[in-house]
Amino acid sequence: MICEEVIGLMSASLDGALSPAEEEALSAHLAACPACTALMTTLRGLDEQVASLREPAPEGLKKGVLYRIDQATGKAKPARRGWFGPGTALGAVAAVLVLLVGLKVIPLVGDKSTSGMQDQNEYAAQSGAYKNEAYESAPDALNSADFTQAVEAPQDGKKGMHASEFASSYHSDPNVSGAACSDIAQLRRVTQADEAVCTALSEAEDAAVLLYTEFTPESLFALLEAEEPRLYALVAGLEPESRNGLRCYKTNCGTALAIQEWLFAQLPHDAAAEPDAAGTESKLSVSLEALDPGSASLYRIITWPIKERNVNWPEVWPDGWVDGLRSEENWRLFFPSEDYVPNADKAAYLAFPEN
Amino acid sequence: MDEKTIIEQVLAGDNNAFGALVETYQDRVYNLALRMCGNADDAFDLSQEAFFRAWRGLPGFHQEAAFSTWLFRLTANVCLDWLRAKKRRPTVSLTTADNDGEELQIELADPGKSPEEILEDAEDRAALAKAMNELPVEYRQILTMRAINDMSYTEIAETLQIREGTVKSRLSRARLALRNILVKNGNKTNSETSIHTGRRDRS
Repeated sequence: MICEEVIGLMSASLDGALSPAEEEALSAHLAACPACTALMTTLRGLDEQVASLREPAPEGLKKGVLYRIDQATGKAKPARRGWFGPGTALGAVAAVLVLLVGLKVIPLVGDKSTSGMQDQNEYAAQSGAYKNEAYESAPDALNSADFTQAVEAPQDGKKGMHASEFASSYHSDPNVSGAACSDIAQLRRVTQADEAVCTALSEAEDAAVLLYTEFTPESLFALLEAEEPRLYALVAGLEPESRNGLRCYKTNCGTALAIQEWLFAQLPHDAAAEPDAAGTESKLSVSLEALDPGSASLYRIITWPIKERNVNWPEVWPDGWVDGLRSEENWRLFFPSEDYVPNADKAAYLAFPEN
Repeated sequence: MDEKTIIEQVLAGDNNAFGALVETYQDRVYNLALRMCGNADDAFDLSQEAFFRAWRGLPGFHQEAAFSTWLFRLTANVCLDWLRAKKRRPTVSLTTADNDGEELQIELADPGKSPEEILEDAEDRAALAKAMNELPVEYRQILTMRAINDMSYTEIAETLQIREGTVKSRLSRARLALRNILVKNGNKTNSETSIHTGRRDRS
């Protein structure tokens, strides 16, 4: 027979909130009652276990808060990183864009991009609350990241440049999450069917690297539809376990680095033509036939403005990108499969920005 | 530099001064959000939101209350708003009334296990976190404040604006509920008997 009063005493005893007389009464009861003694042992142990759930706040929390405050007071610098919100479709696009930047195909987008930033901000405002600046955590993460061990050495001689060299080129880029970089090597080995890994990923910040490494047209579209900081499992055809990984997806440019790393590992290319330390332009050639359909879609998307309009990204982006997505014709270019049925979110996505 | 001075600097327009407050409280804010909302991604966002709201509300914050309890209350409210919005409030049905002085019927699931066996389950962090998530939000909130954030009864009472007696009784029920959930989760195949406790049993 265990009384609530006794349980109350046990609980308060754990908090050191009993008077000496109460402690004495509790002790007397416990001495005579094995059931209560067992419960007391359990409760005490549970408290310790619960305490062990304590976690440090993630890096970048402070940075994110301060950036948001600066934004609110108009003190935030109009930097291109304003485009890279993880909760915005353009943030996702930006992740892809950075891939190109990393390949030195295009120069970095300059500060003249303020109109695009405005668009992005309006879009974010439409998309509801809890937009966050997680990506603003990047500088802190960068400082603590060990890029030298970020990515495994290339296999099979396919890749002429070690990924850590790429990573180092991002050191001055505030958009790259160091945490993402350090996870790349591990995540590259992930397969969709690996339930245990997916479960672990569901707690990881950069689980969407899974999305990239197992790229499919659908998952790419899901990425582009990521209007929330979390990407819910919109993607038809993925294993349920994979959705665990997708659900906690956050767009950031660390994942872009992952794409880049992955592409370099996959694509046949001429290592001698890769960007060198001096930053000469890449002459990387890509053979679409060598790619699986998903990565071919990715490639089409990132190269579309250049190939179809013969213009440079900085001149057209983001408008060129949005225009491209608005066109059903182009949509089919990106997603050739007729089986693909866009879901309702596509309409909202394509409607952006309304001028 | 003391907190009051920092707050004055922030109020004077020094945004960066707020960073010192974030540093001081971010672990506790984050852990509260983490246990209330149940996942790291949302906890990060909600923590940011809580700090941002604190900054925004600072001009209306009167320093007769501690900044910490005010901030934690904001955090809890941000999380509750989020839970409501997401309609993800847990459906575990437990009596959560906090009527001081009135003893309630509570159930004590028969473990059929020793404390060591129950605690073995609890050592699995994922299982424990899951069990925490199954608690009613009032319970995981107060358990987090006490067991993880190490807040005193007085601080918790001020934060939640309830009496210390209520803190005490709610904590007691929260602990028991957590234990019962662990027993049930780790013991699903066993038939369970419930020991009804309360005043009746003593008479």
